[in-house]
Amino acid sequence: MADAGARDLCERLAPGQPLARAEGVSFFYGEGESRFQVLFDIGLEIPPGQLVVMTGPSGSGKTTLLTLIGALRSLQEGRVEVLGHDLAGLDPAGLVRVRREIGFIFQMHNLFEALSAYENVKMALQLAGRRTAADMRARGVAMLDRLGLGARIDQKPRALSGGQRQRVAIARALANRPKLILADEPTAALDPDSTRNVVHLFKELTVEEGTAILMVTHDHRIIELADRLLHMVDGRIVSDIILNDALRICEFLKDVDAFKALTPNELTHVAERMKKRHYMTDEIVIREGETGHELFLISEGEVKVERGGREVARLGSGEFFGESALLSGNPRNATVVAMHPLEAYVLGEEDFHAAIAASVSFREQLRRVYFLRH
Amino acid sequence: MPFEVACRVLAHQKGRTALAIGGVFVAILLIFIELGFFLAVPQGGMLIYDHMRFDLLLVSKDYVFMAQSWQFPQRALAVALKVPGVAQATPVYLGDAKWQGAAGGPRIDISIIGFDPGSRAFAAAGIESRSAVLARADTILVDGSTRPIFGPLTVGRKITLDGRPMTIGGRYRLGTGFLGLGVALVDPENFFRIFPRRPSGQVNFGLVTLRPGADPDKVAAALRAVLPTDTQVLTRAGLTRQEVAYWTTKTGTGIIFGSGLVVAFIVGIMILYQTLATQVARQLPQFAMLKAIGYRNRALNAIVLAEAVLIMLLAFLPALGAAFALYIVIRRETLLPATLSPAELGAVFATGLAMAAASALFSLGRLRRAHPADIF
Amino acid sequence: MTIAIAPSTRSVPLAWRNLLSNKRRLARAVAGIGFAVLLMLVQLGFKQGFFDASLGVVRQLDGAIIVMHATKYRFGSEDPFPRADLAKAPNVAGVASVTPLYASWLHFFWKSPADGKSYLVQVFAFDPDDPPFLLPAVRADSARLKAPDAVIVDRLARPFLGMASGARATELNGHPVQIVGSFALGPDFMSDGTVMMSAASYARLLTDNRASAASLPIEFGVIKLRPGSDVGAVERGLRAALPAGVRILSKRQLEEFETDFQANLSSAGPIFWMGALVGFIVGMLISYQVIYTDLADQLPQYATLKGMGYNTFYLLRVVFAQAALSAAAAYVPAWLLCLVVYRVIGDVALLPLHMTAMQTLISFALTLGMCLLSAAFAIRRVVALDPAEVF
Repeated sequence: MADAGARDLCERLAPGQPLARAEGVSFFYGEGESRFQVLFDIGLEIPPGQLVVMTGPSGSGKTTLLTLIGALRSLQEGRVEVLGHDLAGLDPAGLVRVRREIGFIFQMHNLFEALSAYENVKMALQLAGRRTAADMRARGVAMLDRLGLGARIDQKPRALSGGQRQRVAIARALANRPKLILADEPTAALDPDSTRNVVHLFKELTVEEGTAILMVTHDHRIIELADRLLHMVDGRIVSDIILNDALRICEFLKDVDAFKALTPNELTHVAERMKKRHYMTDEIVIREGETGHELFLISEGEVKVERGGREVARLGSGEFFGESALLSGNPRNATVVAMHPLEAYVLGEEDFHAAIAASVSFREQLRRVYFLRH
Repeated sequence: MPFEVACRVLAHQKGRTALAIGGVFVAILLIFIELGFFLAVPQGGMLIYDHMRFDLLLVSKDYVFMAQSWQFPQRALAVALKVPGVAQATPVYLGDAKWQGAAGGPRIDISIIGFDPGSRAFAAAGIESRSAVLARADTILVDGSTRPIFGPLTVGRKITLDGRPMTIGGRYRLGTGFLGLGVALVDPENFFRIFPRRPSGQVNFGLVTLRPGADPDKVAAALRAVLPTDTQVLTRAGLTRQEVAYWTTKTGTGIIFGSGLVVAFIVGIMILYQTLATQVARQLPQFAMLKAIGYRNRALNAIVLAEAVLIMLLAFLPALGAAFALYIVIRRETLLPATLSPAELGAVFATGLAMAAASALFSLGRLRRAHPADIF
Repeated sequence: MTIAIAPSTRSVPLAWRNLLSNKRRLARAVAGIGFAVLLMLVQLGFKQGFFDASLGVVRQLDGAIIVMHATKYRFGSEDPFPRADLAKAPNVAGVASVTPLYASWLHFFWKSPADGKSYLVQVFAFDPDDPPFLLPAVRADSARLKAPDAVIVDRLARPFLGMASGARATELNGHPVQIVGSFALGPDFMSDGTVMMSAASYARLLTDNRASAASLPIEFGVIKLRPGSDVGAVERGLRAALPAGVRILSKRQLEEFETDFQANLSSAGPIFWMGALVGFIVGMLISYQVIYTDLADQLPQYATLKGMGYNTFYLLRVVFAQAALSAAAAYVPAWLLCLVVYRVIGDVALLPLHMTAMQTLISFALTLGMCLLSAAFAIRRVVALDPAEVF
């Protein structure tokens, strides 16, 4: 699984194809004197395959933002593009059509008491049109089964527990395999096992099918597994952090000269194998004369390069060192000391050679740098 | 205090409250309408009697109802006059004639009442003022609600009664009751000219009015003692009982309208209960909160009762208004004098209130049993 | 996208499921709407029953053409014409027989074997060899009417007349009469019971033996046609042959004549139409409450549907479908119950209450109409649903 999807990891960062994009979005509630603003100039992009978690105190506007992206509300200010549709220009009928392409998981399951679990899911399946009854049954059963409800397909909500009902609602949202999923506290009613199952399903969807998921939650089990974390306070996005290290490295490598020329594929290859490491001020990273086993890429901080006790150079964020020992096989030709608390991405020897073997351009880049330094 | 809370509760969700009031409105209106129909039948039967002045009525022993009254000898009236307490004993005649326009056309059955205008037998404005008209030869007063098939009831129009030329001398407003499609009044002289073959010594009704202070029951007993067995003496109450019994039981109209009333009553109670039960059930969360902050069950009962009373009050008056409007239509379109007396109104209100209170309390009790852990 | 009124395998029959899944709610809806339907059906039944009752005798006349006095304003008014006016009738082409029929509504007092009191009754008299009635009992017993002062009575008359009491003799107009048979007719607005006798007995009882039947004017001339004759042509022929003072009607025209009178001039029609209207309005309000409550209870679910991408049109179809299904579900038990009610009330009130196809059709249309109409009022909430408010 890792390889098949990982190959596309950095591809996901390719600009111009976000599944959802908001620009300058502001939103007001109420009218006249009691009008107050809940969203202030929100901008954000969600590319395919990202599991994005939104957190924030109540009243911070996250739910409102969710409903705007989900085409459940009309825009007031700003632009929202979802799955290629510009929501601003859409009439109510157009909004309805967009909604069919989005999987929305509400906090309240809102299942029809009169319908069985399968029939509730079928309400979503039949929206896609032109499916045979057998096809819908297969899809619906498969999704319910995947969520652990295989034995309850034909039972009505009153025979199900709160957690089971919520899972039916989740199945309903996912049944059509939408490219974009918006969720509001989807696991609030679930027990730990079910939560784990659901979150794994979400991750599976992002990785295997490139689905983008934007989810409001406080469940730290999900936050831990998320790719990206948005924090909203008082209607503004105050932080937007990529949590997944490999993704982060990809993002970082994209802007590093030596790696720029790499294809996303190759980039992913490298990023996946790089490890983050921290060093404290004045800590020695590599010592002259040692055998070299790693390549270092500085993400944050500064280092001092010394040869024979004399400072030869300083390197900062985006610059790398330690390549000569790996390329020539000689011992380290310099000592590198961290000047501030240092964060570096480290590539091991084998991975380094593999990367060089895999990528001509990478080899060329490295050689150029190597020769420049010598 | 419970009324204040009830007011706030009802005012808070205007839509739902309006629906509840609407439901009760329908229930009450339905009962009013069917009750109106049902009561109109005996009222129709009593209409003309109710506008005649008498304390006791003398009729033949074979009397069935007003239109089948048989006759009894006039000298019974002379006998009656001698009984202490009797102030006046007036004869009233009743016959059926065929009315035809002067130019021909259909011959229609009309009831003719003959009476002496000077005796003030009728307590109706249009009649008392026209004694002079009645005195004229071959002149009749016709009831304004006589049906259109008789043609225009213009004063001066010439018509024939049983072939005899007559003139319409005037119109009065009373109502035909169940005497038929039309009623006309004449004085006794004209009456016997219209019905020459009728024996002159026979009357249909004897209106007996008593001296002030006389006891009708005592005088009735005295009269029965002296009058021959071919006549009977009826008090107003006895007459009403008998006449109403005829219309409601003998003719079957009572059963028909009565069944309509029963169905309406059942439906009305159902709607009432349903409406109030829904209203009460909707407030489960509020009740839970109230219990949590320390209200006792009695207080909840009081609030629920207050709500029921308020809803009933708000629905009753509009229902009454609508019912009266409908009664006007009914009176115009049919022969039924649909109306409700204040006593009957009060009875409907009291019954409605009782049922509303019962419904509210009962549904609260059911709620209590259904959710013991939640709030109770 | 298909919407389901009946269950189909392609799409979820939401309206059907909503209606059937909650048994208690279904029972309440059926009871509520059903009672309104019952109210309407009972009123319509009464209306029809009164008309049918007043036409009871007319329908039983054995003839294709009826001759009566031109000044009669209704079937049941006593307005006879001279027998001689019929003299030329048998000569008109197409006429097979002319039967005189005497009738009285105001002159015969029957002494009831039940309570001994005397009451006005409807009387028909004819030549016992030629009874102009279709009633089988009349045809069977008419020979017995040849005996002097023999009468046959309506055993379905109002009970206080005691005609079904099995008595063998009583009095008419003070004269003793023998009861030699009975038939099944029933009362109407005009009369509480009917008595039939020979023309000779009629003359004797009416005029106290002073006149013979031949000298008395008749109420109707009942005319039978030769097979294959055209009714219209014979009517025209009779019109030419008979004096202007009589009116010539086909049997159907006579029925219409009487129906018009009942409908326009008497009060029965408007009363029951009003009663039915009341039932309709009540039904509409009950149905509105049922539909509205169900909608309100499921608003979050419907809003969720909108959020999923269902358009308002779909929701409207579900609401209307559910209303229509409610109407059907309520109608059937109400209809069945009404059959019983008709039987019971009909027996007690002596009114011919029947469930006819026309009544069923009309009342079902009204039921469906009232449910759909109330759904139309309730859907504003659905149309206004904002899926974002689900939060």
